[in-house]
Amino acid sequence: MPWWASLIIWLFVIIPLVGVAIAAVVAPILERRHLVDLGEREAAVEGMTVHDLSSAVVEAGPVHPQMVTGSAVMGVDWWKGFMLFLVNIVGGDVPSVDRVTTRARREAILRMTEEASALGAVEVVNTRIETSTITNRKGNSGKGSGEILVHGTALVPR
Amino acid sequence: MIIVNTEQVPGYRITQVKGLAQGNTIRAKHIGRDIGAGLKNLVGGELTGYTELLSESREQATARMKEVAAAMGANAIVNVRFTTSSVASGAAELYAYGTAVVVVAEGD
Repeated sequence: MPWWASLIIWLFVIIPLVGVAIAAVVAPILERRHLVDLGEREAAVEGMTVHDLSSAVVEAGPVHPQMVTGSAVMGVDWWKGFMLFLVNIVGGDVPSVDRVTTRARREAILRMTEEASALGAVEVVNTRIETSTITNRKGNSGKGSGEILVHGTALVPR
Repeated sequence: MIIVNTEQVPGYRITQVKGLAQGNTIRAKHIGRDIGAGLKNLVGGELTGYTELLSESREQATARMKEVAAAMGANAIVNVRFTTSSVASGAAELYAYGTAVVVVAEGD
């Protein structure tokens, strides 16, 4: 086998497969850890009312409004990317990948809520959730990652 | 400066509308962050480098929007919206816009 053939095999077969195998083992552990962390932090800010209505629903007297934001960029690990590639052939939904966006959204909403909580707010109104793809289309590093941006108006009692 | 994404400012009354205030910024991620994010992407999860980059850019866009509104003589910006787009490979544009208004506290 000429040297370039083995180089191609290394670059496009062995390294990706090793990456997929590492991701298959490590990613679920990290995912579970993140979900536990999300659950704990969500419990800590449970008293906060967060909604997407344009006016206040909590009776709190005079308030001072302030915009709060939260964002998160989540990547799709190689194992899920590999599954995505397989599902792409036959079509259908990809449950393991939609868990990534769900987590990113929870994380972003939570960051906004925590910011509001730190300000001493009683509620967050007019919450908007936006999704955008910000990374380049070509490079591998950008593959499948998108940004979730959440913004709302925190009402802090005056 | 009060910045909200609602049409009205809760607890305040809008007395004057000054017009549209906007701010934008285009940021490229440096190669180190790209490589870091690429490695992190192997196992998935949050790409912290990108999250930070984007929140910094968003703060900058918001600060520019604030300056524009202040120059108009406004003391609040209502109905703020953000848009994010990739204008070139590896660079993201963050754009913030809203309506610059003058508000007075209710009861004053």
